[in-house]
Amino acid sequence: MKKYFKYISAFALVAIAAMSLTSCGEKKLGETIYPDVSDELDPNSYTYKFDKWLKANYLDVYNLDFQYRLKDNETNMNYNLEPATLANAVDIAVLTKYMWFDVYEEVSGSKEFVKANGPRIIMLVGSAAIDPQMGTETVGLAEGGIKVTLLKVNSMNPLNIYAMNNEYFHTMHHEFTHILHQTKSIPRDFQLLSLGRYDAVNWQARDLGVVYSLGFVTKYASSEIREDFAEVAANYITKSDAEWERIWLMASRGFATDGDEESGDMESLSYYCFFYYPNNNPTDENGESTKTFLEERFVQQLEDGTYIYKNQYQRGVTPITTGEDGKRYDANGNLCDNAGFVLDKNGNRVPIVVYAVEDADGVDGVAMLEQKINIVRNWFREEWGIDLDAVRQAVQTRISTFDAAKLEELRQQVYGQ
Amino acid sequence: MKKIFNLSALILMLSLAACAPSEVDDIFDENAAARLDNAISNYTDLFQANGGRWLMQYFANGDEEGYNYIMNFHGDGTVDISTKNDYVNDGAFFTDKSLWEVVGDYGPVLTFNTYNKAFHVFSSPQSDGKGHEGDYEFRIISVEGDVAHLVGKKTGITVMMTRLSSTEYPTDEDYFNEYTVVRKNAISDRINNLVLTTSGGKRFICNDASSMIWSFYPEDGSLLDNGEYMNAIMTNMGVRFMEPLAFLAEYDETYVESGIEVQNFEFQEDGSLLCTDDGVTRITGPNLADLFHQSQLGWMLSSKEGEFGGDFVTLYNGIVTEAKAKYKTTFNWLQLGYDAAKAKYRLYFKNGKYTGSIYVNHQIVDANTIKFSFDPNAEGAFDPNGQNHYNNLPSMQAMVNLLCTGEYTLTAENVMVSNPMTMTSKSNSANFVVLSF
Repeated sequence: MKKYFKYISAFALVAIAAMSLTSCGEKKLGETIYPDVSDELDPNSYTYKFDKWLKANYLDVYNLDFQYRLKDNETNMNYNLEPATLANAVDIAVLTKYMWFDVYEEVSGSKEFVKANGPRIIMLVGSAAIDPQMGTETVGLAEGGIKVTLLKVNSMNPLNIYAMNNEYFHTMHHEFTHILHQTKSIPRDFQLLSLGRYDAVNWQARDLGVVYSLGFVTKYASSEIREDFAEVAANYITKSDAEWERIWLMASRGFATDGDEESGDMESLSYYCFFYYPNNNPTDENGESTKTFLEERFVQQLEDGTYIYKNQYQRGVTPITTGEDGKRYDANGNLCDNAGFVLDKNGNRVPIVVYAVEDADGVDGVAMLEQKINIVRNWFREEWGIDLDAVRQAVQTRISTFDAAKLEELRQQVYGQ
Repeated sequence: MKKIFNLSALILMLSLAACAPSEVDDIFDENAAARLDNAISNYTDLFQANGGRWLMQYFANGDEEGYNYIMNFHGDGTVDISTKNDYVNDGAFFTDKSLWEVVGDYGPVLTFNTYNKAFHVFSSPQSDGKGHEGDYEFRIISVEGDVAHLVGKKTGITVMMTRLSSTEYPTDEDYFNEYTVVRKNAISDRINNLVLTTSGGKRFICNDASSMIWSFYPEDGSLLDNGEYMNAIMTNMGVRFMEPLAFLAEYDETYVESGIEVQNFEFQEDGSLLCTDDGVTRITGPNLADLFHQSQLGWMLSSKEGEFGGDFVTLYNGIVTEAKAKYKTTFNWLQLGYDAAKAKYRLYFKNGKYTGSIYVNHQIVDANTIKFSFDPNAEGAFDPNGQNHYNNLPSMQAMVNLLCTGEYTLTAENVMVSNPMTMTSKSNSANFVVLSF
């Protein structure tokens, strides 16, 4: 019986194996179930000229789908979003090419760099993505190295070049940098520079001067490493010389607050990088410090590098009396004018001296920024063969020469076909 | 041994069965992708057919009224959207052009995918990140005849579209001009206590209808204990609640038995709203005696020709003439309204720069019948000017006497907004006054 059992078992196993290998073999695939949809554009469509231009300038050249019609399943459904207007979609489409794609073509010498490394999808959203809980506003997104979302398209004014630069061109280069570092990672040196100084939760409540002093180019840069990296590149490319120098100047200063930092209410705190003593007197009559913080707009720097309070002068200590020489003197014997202001030996009123707040955050903001921009610059050159300074130069030239006539010229590429 | 044999045989049979070629017949003629493609094409054609003009009854969310939109779908992919609501163009009529498409998503979806100033205000996040949280993409549930049922993709709210006749409304603005009149005539923010009568005869009090966030409670209950709320949209044809009034079935078993859900109401000639789902449930205004009794309404006795009849004409003209002779003044108007503080009706008049009041007692005889009485010697029957005019103007005295003689029947053409209302003497139908507020 055991013998039969062996035969039967063997037969069953062979049969099962054979069935598995034969009956369940792969079927030959039939034709696709998807209808053969023509990709030809409909000349009767209202958007024919625009669609034709997008096809010729994005799809055919860069294999890029420029989505100006909003599909909410392409978005984060937790946000309430509105679509872009058609008119603004046309404007942002021509400007994206002019201020981004054409710039890299000019610098790299061909369209290949953007074609190989650029997004495959650019999607437009009319509104910002506002987080109702955090109160933060997202104006751009880069996802998975293939898709860039440009938001707030409906509120743009193409002729306000300052706003366009800060809101849109900056976003384009910021998101493109994300796409690039999603392919080749952010250098380790950069990742270590500001480690421990990022605040992913409350970055928006930080004071701008404070983040400059810590070596960040924007508040958003202080949120996390990858945003820091993208912000350095995007701000370097799009900020004017004056704006860029301003960041460095602020980075060189220290900041202090006259509020209560321990309260935790960061948004209500004001930070200052200057202070003064009323009437140039460090202590009051009780010997307490009279240090008073001052906004930078009230400060004037003299040729010798010292700072004074604009149009504010030291008052004499009362009582002010007339001396034997007929001149007026304060209680400390200082010569005063009739209005009670102290005069110097030349007969001029004595200005209120202003002092810079000591940079006590432990970070050399300028040195930090220098390191960051150098790392980003080298990364672009070594990893991508792109001269970041040339990109900046090309963008700045385009921004400085942009006007209504240029915008109309760009629009005519679409409407004038 | 037998067990092992059986087990082996079972495994063998299962393997054969599992690996056997499928013999399941397709229940559709075409595969899913082709069907979706056809549906997109068919719906695209349907929306733009016959002029492509549809009235959309749009709800952005469950906390505000629905809004009328006219969608003019064009074959070139554009849509002209018209509206007249408080959130667009400061409430004035407005039209804007944008793009539309039927796309394949979760089945066929109607999308308005470029910004339209008339429409997307309800999708905009606004400064709080939320805004109205309304949809601009809609799953197409059905398009049958001239009615399309859509469901907002994010909100899940059902939105209905009906084809709009160009004969009845040559322009979009014609529709909204009529809408303004219809809405004014249909529901007044000064009239509360509308009555919904169920198919089984149960009565519910409806308030806040003018805001289109209706509240309901059974007549023998209270808003606090039994209140239910539902937002609605008014069109030129009637009122549609965002969802069926499911709570009615808790009070009236006829709905449970029939399985009918009450949601759609159509205007009738008398202004009432008749439910088109069951053909029985109806919404009317409060009965006229109760309405006449509402203290917030000051009913004016019009002196226009045709709005004053019989002896009332003679007496009113007499008051005017006598006032001119006695006081050298122009008699301006006469008003009749309920004074809740005194619990009396007040004949309130203005003569030149003077006003005066004469207070009469009342009795509500039935829902449409009222009766007045007056005792000039009773305390609080007049204010000083009222007494002066009553004593010095014979026609004023006669007017009060006429008012307080017999019963008056109250009638109104519109049972929802019973303004104007006619009060006719039961003993002499020639004596009537038209009252309006």
